[in-house]
Amino acid sequence: MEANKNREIIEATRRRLIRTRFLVDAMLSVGIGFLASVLNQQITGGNRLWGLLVAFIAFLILTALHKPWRVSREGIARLLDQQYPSLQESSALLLQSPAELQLLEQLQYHKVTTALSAIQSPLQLNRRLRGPACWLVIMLLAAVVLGLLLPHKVEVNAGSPAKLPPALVKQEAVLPGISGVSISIRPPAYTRHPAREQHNFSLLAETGAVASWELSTGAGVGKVEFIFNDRRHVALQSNGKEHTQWKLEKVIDSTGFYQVSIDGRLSELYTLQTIPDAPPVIGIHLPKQYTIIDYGQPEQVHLRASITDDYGIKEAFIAATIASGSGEAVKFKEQRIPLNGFAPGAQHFEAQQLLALQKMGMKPGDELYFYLQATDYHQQQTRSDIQIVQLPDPAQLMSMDGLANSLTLKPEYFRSQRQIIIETEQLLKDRDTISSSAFESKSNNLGIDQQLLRLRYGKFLGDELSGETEGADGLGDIADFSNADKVRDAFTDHHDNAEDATYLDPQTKKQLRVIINQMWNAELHLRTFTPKEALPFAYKALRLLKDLQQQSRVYVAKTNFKTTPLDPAKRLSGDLSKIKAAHTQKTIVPDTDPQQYVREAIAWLNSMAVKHTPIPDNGRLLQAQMQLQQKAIAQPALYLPAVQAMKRVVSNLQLDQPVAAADILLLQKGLQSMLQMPATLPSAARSGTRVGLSKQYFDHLQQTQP
Amino acid sequence: MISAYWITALACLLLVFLLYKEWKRPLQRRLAARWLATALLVTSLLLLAWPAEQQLTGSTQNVLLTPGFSEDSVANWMRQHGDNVKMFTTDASLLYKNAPLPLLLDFTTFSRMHPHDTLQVFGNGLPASTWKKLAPVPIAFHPPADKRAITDIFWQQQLELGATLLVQGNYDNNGNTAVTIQLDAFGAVKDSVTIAAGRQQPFQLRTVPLHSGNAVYTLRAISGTDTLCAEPLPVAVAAPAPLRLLIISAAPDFENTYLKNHLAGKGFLITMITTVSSNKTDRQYLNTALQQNDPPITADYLSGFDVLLSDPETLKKMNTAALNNVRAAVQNKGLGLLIRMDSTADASSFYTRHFPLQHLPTAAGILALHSTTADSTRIAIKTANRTAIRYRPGVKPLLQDEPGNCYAAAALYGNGFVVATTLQQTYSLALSGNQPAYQQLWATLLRAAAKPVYTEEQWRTEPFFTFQHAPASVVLEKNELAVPLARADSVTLYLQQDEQLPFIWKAVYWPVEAGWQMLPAAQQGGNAWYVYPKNSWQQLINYQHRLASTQYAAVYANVPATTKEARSGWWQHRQFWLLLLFMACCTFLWIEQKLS
Repeated sequence: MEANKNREIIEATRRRLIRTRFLVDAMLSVGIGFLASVLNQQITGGNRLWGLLVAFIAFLILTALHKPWRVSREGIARLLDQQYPSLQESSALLLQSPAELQLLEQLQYHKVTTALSAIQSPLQLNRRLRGPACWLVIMLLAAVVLGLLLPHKVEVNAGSPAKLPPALVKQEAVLPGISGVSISIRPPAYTRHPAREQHNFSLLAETGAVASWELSTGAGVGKVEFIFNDRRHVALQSNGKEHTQWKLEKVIDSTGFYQVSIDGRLSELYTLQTIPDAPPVIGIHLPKQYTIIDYGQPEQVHLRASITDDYGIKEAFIAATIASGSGEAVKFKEQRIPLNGFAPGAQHFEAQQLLALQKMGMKPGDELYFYLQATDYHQQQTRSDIQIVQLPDPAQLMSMDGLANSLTLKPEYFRSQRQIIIETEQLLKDRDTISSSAFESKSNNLGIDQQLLRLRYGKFLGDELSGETEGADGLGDIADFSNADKVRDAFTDHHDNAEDATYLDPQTKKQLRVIINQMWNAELHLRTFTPKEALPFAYKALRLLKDLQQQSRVYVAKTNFKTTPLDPAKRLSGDLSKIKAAHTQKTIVPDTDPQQYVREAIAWLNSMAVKHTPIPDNGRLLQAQMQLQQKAIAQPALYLPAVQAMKRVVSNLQLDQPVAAADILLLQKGLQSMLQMPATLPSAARSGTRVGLSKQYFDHLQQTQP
Repeated sequence: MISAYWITALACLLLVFLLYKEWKRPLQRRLAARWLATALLVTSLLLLAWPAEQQLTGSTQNVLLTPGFSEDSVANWMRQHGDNVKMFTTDASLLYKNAPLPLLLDFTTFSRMHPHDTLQVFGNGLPASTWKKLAPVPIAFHPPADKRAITDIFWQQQLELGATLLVQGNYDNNGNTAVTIQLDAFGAVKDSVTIAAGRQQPFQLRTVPLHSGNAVYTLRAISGTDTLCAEPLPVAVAAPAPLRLLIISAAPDFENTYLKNHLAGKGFLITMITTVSSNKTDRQYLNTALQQNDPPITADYLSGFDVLLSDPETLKKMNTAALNNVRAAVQNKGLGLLIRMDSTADASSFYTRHFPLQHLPTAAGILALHSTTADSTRIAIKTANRTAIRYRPGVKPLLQDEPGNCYAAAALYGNGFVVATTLQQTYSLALSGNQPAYQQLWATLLRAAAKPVYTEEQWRTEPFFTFQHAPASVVLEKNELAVPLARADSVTLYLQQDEQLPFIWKAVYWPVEAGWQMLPAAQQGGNAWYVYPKNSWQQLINYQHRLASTQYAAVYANVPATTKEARSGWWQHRQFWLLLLFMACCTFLWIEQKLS
């Protein structure tokens, strides 16, 4: 009896422990599942039911790890022993039958039985639930907080067809005769938008979409037509003999508005809005618009560009032209280079490409012109700006052509730079055959030559530099600004003063300064026995010198021209008496404000709202109406209500009926939004009547305080 | 009232109790003296405890109800002060408990009849002119609780096209919610400002009117979804008359050339005289007649211009006679002289002496200027030249940068203005695409310099707000002596000459219709005049009535002055005397008890 009771207690404890362990796993899985569900919806926009699956999987994993069912009675006995000292490490005895026990064991058995029965709710299993319960609460709270904090991801459908803004959809008045309308819009195939159907007249469609209207009239009517933009009448075809079903199909290629006419009765105006297809946009980030690949640099160009289009790019490539030769013997070679990794149909493409100039067949002295061209599915083409890459020819730089023909005076030391380059190249060739000390001394000597050359230029430029502040830049002196004499001095030549004659213009001096910098670098490398590194700088210096020389070349055609013989008596006498003073008279028609009529009309409407006045006969209302209609064709959503209001106002005025205040307000709003800010013009202040009083006062003041 | 009864009752009980105790005392000596002392003691105690500002009940009180009064506050007052009142009103449309009230119209007679009776005034009160008539009558003013109102307002009614409309005012928001004040034009909100709850603060709204002609804007005060008021704001916009400009320069330069071309394109009348070589000038006449014989610069010649634009170097090289003529034209005729300063300017000449130059450290980059007259004008000009005009008293800065250095200034010289600017190459503004800034810059400079336009006669109305079916003063300023007549619709107005100022003529006119109309003398001027509808700007008027009433109430307080004088002496120190009497009685009773 006692033994049975003991076993029952232990068995009940075992079952309860198993239940508790399952419950703990279930609580943790629910927490994980809830967290996963919230994160899934917020981040990926997916379904919340995924949380259930996650919770189930988590539960399986946790139970597989914990194996809660694997709890034996012996285990329970050990647990009881650990937990309760009063059992005196003897609860295992309780599992045995008292009959099989020895005397001592029996004594202990009874003792333990008493101790066990004294224990209320063995192992305190409820406490084990506290920790997991805390975790569950924390996870639920975290899920709620994350759900509030994370931006809610809205499921975006890239190919969603256009929808009308709600403002346009509502409040559409339909002619009483029309019992139903159905408009199906088929966007062009390349937009990949599905065909759609709508039951209100205001349309928003992709450019090039085909709209087909199906109108049903309650009773048979004679004629149904659409009036587009208040000008073009298009009749609808009737389907049957009853003349109750009417049909029209039209390609929507421009914005505007239309109205329905049934046997002469006109509806209100409905908008026709298009979503235009923008041409592709090309942006070239690399290379720069004009690139020179100097001697020593790798002969390749890194191209980085981005191409974007709203519906997808159909085709994109590099159009390259190589110009080789010079003068009349220039030859052009055109190439079409595909873009690496380009696949048609993408809305955005990042181009990364290396243009190997040699592979493209470029030789020194050639120039490469290239641009990117992209085409979209609407056959709209975009070309980027033309980029120029130049590959200078060192041999050309060595040529002596053109030196003799220079018109303006230039420094005459060009040969020396060329000579230094030749000798440096020779030195590099001889490097293997001469001793290193000879190589170094030769290199150093060349460095000295380069220094001399630089110093000669420097001296030449230095002389000029000291006088530079006298030039145009000196006009910025703050203490002596806007002095006309100084301005004249700066921009005129003093021919009569030999000392003051200037040789070089500022632009030439600037370029010379750059050349000297290059020479400095070349000298540095020659002096440090690295002539190979010196060569790029020497070449650049030479190229710049060559440019300077090229700039001054001017072509003057040979003509037969006889000058009048100069009269030395008159020359430089400064006699201007026979030169007449200039008189000019011009009447300029001021550019009138094209919106003046609208400005006047809006003010007139304002007074109309207070007091009914007859329509003015100067046509300003008509002008305003025309301008408003033009605006409405371009932006129907913005100006159509005003056009409708204008029609009502004008018709009421013509019939000499009162005009609704709401119409006037609507019209004024429309007119006001098309008005631009008037120009600010100076004007005289109005100072009232010139009364004698202030004059007398002023005269009196003058007398007392002269 | 109740407290007074209670005190009296308590005093009586006390008196009876004390008298009884004195009577029942074993020692019956000096009973009469003790009774007297007890009676005096209780009376003095009663008078000491009596409510100080107790009104005499029973007499009739006068109550004046003005627009804006609340029946609740009147009823509340009557509960406290008794309902023996005589009610009047100044507005026949006002009802009290749905019954009409007797009208008070003859204020002078009323003030003669009730010079010392306090008049209880409920509502917004009366205008100052009416209070003058009521003068010595003391009043107690009970203004309504909701006093939210635009308390001051000003804007320029006549504007030129392109000018900014500036509405400035003051709002008193004594409510619990914020109030938004917004300026509406043709159904669109142009500008708005929010006044926080419990604040009284000035506000400023601005817009550039887009219309041309006469229009009425609306000024709204909105609290939440309630529109507290929507007042008409008339604005007349007219295209400005083109100026006549004379440009004289010693050498050709692009600044003048660009300005000339720009203004000529806008229809301005320009004559430009440029010295191109020794004794050779280039004369250009744009939108003006060609003058073949190179007219000298005489006073007569200069009178045909509004502004002369030149520079110190040119004026220095000008012959003395011509320069004197320029000076006289500025001083006497009001010709504007606009000087583009340069370093050759000396301090002695009349055109530069007000503008000493100040060389600031050169700083390349953008110079951000703002106009001191219109603070919406912002001009960012690229210049390295930082020469400013040092401030001197009597000189008005026109364009300043952020630290306050002045780059253009105007000084009054006789009847005209001399304006100087140190800005060079302003054309770069226009060439860089910022045409509006260039236009604003030169509009600021030329406007400051331009010769004011004097009209032959000027009409105006008094006061600023003239209402329908209310008298409006039509005032004419005119120099001629002939008696002017004015016509308004079909009515001929006969104007009366002012006794002190002979050039002012006045007439009173009652406009029948509201809205824009021509001022009575439409034939000559064509001045547009706006007559406000009858109930517009009511809050502002109510505020002014409240202000006048409060001021009057402060001067003529509740208690008439004559009574105050009569009650001087012991009445003012009655508390002291009552206390003395009380102490004396107590002392007598105590000593008497001790002695017996």
